Amino acid sequence: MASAAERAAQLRAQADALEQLDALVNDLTAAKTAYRDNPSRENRQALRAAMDAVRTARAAARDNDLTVGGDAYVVTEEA
Amino acid sequence: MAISSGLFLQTFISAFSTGLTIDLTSDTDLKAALFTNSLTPDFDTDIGYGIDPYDANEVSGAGYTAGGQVLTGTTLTGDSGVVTFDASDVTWANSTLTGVRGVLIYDDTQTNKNGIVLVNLGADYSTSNGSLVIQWSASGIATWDLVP
Repeated sequence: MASAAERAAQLRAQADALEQLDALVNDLTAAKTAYRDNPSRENRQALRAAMDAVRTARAAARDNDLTVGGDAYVVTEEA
Repeated sequence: MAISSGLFLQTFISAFSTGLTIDLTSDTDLKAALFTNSLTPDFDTDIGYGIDPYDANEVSGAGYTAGGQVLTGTTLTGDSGVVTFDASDVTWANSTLTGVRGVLIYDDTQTNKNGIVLVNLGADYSTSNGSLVIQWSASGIATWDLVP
């Protein structure tokens, strides 16, 4: 079992990763708007770079498998 | 009858033949709708939301609007011959839902609301005035290996 300090460090790292991901998604939204307004080669390259950055961040922040969380629960019937 | 995961064959054929234009990087066109495990997909023939079998077995309840919610933060990236479609995780807050088993992602702007991918959540999830949070896989929502 992780200590309280280790658990706190894990939560801080998770919060930092989510903040970074939010910032990258905001950058992505801006890049999409810029490309839509002016579909230049430069804006296309910037859009591709923004998408790649978000993809990389999500790959690092998520679990390997799809997960369902929040307050969701699964009802299991006992045999 | 059960949900499985898969891509909609007819949508991809139409996109490469009859001019169906779907922007997988749109933050306004694509929606995610929730279905129960009573749905039985046929990925060879299924068309889209609102058309059999997606005209039944959609979940209902507080905090959920029929048709689902818009996907945002979409990305379409490529590396080593593999195309990856992804989006921000989705949340149905303050929801009371029963038996959520699958997520249909479709283009709400098309006449046939063409399906793109159906994702099996692996279990029947429920909420009681709480949040249903779906975190997509680290590998994205769907991938296409163009050089298998």
